[in-house]
Amino acid sequence: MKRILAGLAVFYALGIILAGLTRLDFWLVTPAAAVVFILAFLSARKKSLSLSLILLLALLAGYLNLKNSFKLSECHIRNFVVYKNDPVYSVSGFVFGVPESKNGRYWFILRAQEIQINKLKYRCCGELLVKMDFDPELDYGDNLTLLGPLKCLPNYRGYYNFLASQGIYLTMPIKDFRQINRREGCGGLKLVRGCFRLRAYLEQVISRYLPALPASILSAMVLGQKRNLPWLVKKSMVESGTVHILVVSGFNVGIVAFMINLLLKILRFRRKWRIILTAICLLIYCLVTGASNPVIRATVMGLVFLAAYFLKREPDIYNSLFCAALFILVIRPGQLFDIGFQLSFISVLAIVYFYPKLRSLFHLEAWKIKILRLIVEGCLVSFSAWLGTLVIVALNFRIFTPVAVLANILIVPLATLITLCGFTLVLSGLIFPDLARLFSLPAAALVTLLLNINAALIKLPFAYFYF
Amino acid sequence: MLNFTPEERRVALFLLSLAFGGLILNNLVKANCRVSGVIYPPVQLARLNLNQVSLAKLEATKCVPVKIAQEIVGYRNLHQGFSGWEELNEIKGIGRQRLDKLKEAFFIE
Repeated sequence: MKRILAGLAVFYALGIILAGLTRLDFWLVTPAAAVVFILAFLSARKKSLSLSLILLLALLAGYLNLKNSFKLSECHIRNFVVYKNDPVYSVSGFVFGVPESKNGRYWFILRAQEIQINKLKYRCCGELLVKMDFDPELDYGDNLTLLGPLKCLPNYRGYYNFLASQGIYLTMPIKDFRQINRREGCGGLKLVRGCFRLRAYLEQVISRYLPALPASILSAMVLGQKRNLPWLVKKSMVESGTVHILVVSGFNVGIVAFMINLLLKILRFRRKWRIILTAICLLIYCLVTGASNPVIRATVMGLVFLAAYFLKREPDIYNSLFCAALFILVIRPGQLFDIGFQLSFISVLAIVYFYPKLRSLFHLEAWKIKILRLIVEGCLVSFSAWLGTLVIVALNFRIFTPVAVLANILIVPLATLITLCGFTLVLSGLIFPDLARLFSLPAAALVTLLLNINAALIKLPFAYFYF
Repeated sequence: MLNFTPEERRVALFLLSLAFGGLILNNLVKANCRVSGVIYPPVQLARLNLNQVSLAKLEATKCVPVKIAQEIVGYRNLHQGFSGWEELNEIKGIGRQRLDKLKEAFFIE
């Protein structure tokens, strides 16, 4: 089997789906996995049998991992919550992630370390969602003690379903700032704390040179910060099928890798050191942008490619893609049911699979007019991604967007330019602030053009249908 | 000394084109204030005018339930439009939080 990682990832994912559909207990499947493991070990010399058993083992590993993720440890904070009388709890821990806000509501995730009920303290683990109506002015890693009731998330639907897949089952509403007590010291990783601070600083750099609307769009495209993105912009992008440009993804990671590599090349670093430093920068960029699924996928794919160059081996896009999928699913198997994860992987898979086939169908290599060839190539990439994600988008968002193919042809090159301008603006804002003012004007003009094109496209007849 | 690789030349060209573009736009803005309206996106692209938005679009907004959308349109027709956000407080069902949400999605002109 040429692409063993692809096979392992597919069977592992099938195991997760199977675990979601069936109710067989963890301890019933474990002996079966042990038997398969022994058989695979014994039949190591019989190639096809051994391979089939390894794939079966991957399936069972996926099954067991999801079942195991449902089981909370004894010290999990959810096990301390009683359902009667709604008592007040005192929970100590640290802020995990950056506090977010929308429509005057603020929330953050607290990684719990200690819980106090009726003057009895217990060590605990797990995370909870803390919601409030005022700005808590907190950073990642701040040590806190919170006083308030703990409530289980209702029915695990929509956003709550997403939280449940992240291992968050509880929420604590905070009504008064006196319910939050800061403690000395910092929790969490210093590197992550530094990355979040860097993101906040870079956001300030962008908003220093641009008005609110273009700044919010650039922050989303370059730093993955969608907090200030207007509702109507997001809605109109969904309707034109181009909302993916507002997400930090493989394209941005590629730009970062290219820029770092180029900079190191100009500074005459050796090839080996260039690859190592580029890999480190990619990891930092992943943390700065909040390590969402598309960024993790792109970063892992980038790292696999860099490792292949480092070891002087030929990189394979399928293997790197499935390696990224395995990486995410091993850590959080529940992510397979997350719409963001599905869209991120299926769109790339569709491009990788359909695009070469469509290219050879149209005999694009033989086309002599370069501009026409580039335009058709853009069309085919957009069409491939649209085709791949069509069913998932229609089922989840109840929207069908025929205009998406045309919109992507026009908007993706523009978004590419805007992203490049965004990176240039951020870097120049850090190094040459006066030059950044100059770079901000083309960036703002391009964002205006993008929004105007998008607004015109969704006004076309039969551009999109809600059903 | 200037033995740039093709990639380095492309980057230099991109930066220079950005700088030239910026210079030209800066000059145009200085010469005519209206140009800034072309460069910077107008508010209509990010929010809807509450005095012109249709009932269907208002209802499609997540922050406006159907009943409140009808109340808003009724009030708007009766008073020939809104002149400020404070007028929305007179509509039953619009509190501080919903007003904040409305401000995010609409503007009044």
